[in-house]
Amino acid sequence: MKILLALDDNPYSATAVNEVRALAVNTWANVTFLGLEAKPGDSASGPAGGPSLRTALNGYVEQFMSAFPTGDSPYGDTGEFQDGTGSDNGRCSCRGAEDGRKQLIKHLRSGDPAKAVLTEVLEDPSDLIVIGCDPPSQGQGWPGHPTAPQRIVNEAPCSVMVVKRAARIDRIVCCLDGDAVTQASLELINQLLTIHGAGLTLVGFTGSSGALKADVENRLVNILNYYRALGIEPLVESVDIASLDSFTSQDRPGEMLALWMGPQTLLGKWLPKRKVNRLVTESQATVLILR
Amino acid sequence: MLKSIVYLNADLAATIALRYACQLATLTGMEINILHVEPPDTEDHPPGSGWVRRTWEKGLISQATEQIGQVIAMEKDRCPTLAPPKILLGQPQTGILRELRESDYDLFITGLLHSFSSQHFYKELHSKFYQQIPCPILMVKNPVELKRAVILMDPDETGTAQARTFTRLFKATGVAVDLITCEFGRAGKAGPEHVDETALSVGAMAPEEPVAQTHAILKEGGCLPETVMHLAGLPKVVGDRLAGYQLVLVSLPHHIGQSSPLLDCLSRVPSALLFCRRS
Repeated sequence: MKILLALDDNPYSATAVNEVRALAVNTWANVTFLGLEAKPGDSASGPAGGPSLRTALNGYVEQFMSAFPTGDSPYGDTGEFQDGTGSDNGRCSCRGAEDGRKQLIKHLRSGDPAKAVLTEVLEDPSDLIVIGCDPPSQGQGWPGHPTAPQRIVNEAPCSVMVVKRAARIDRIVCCLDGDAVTQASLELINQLLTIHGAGLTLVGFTGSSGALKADVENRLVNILNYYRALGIEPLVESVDIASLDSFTSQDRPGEMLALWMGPQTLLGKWLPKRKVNRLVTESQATVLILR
Repeated sequence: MLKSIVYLNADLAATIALRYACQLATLTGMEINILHVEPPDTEDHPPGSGWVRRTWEKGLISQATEQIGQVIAMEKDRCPTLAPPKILLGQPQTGILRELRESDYDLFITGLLHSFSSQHFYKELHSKFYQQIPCPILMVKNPVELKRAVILMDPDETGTAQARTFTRLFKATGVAVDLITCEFGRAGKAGPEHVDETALSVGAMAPEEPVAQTHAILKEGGCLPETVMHLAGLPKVVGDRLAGYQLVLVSLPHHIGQSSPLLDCLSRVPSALLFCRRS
């Protein structure tokens, strides 16, 4: 698995690092730390007089590496950003020594954060983008670029996790949608359940009759059996697709909402961009969009 | 030994009900009987009469037996004592009621998927079918591990039916029970998203008070409730508060109106509901 971690120097980014660190301990994923700043060499979104983004990025890597015992890290020596690190095609890169079994890369990009993340993922594809963001009660998306998380969620070609600051996750609510569910996404959910010690709810969508369609039901049964074999006993809930809006917009303290989205999926058709935007913006909890 | 009957279809809701029933059988030693009623295909009228019709019926029953057998086979490891199912041909609700009246069952078990909307739940409980079932009804929404149950009662009405059913089923099983009275008329003092919780002292109550009577039955049956309290809040919020219980025992109202705060509350409970009959 390859994770792209989009960071600025706000506290929610440290929460996103913690989430990826926990994932990496279990999966040994290749990780790219992408520092985003409004202007080159200037962290406009940070507090006045605060540390530069390069320093913050070095600190995030240190925070990430603290989960791995010295000398027993799959990532080897991570290297440090210094002033004057070279720029390549709008991207400053810093690689550690080539002694790691897994890759840990630090990049810096300047300019519009959403555009920078989408360019990065096009140039160097990842399986999952993780981005921190303030919940509505504590702020508004990314300071200076409030719509950045939504734009990334809407336009990224891969899965995206929007991590809300200080989010405690007791339950992961997975909205299943036909054949869009992949083994890799199930395993990602499984990892998140383990990391958070959370319970799992599987949601199947119904028509107005309240009955699940045969293919959705079969899929649900298969996934239920998959998790049961792993010792996880999920709860099952059915949701009338016409109630999807109120279902996704309800306040869910302690819950992470995971949605399988795509142009071919029912959710992709029923949740237009503006609703996804609202979901990402208004949810107090972490949101995971799976593709 | 208690005698239960599970209504089984080859679908997810029924499979969940069977799994929960198997858990209860392991806990309580109750007997599980399985019933499936295969509705005749409404588009195809029965072909003729005599042996032609009998052959057609045999074909339908054979097909249903195979499907239900596959569902049972999946649970055999958890519940080795499952008996072969009884397969009938006809309208499901009519067939179930006939079977329940002909044999003396202590518990009817059925599955209903937990739903975000309460509409489907309302529709089920509004049907005459539920009112005609002569024994307690266990409606399973999810196959959760049963550790803690709650008896839910109106503060002014007795909860003796729930208490008797609980002690009969769960005496000496180690399943913990709480006793809760509910008031749905107002929001919690801290706001509509909150529930007011007040501990109740049974010792300070007159013995004829409904809570004291219910408590006495539980105590006598060796199932002393760990917590006795009163909840006040909006139905859905109280329902969410009950999500930590794996079984909620309530009295099935004789008449359910178009709008019922109790049903609003119960529709939010994701685990299992045991509707008890008032004597």
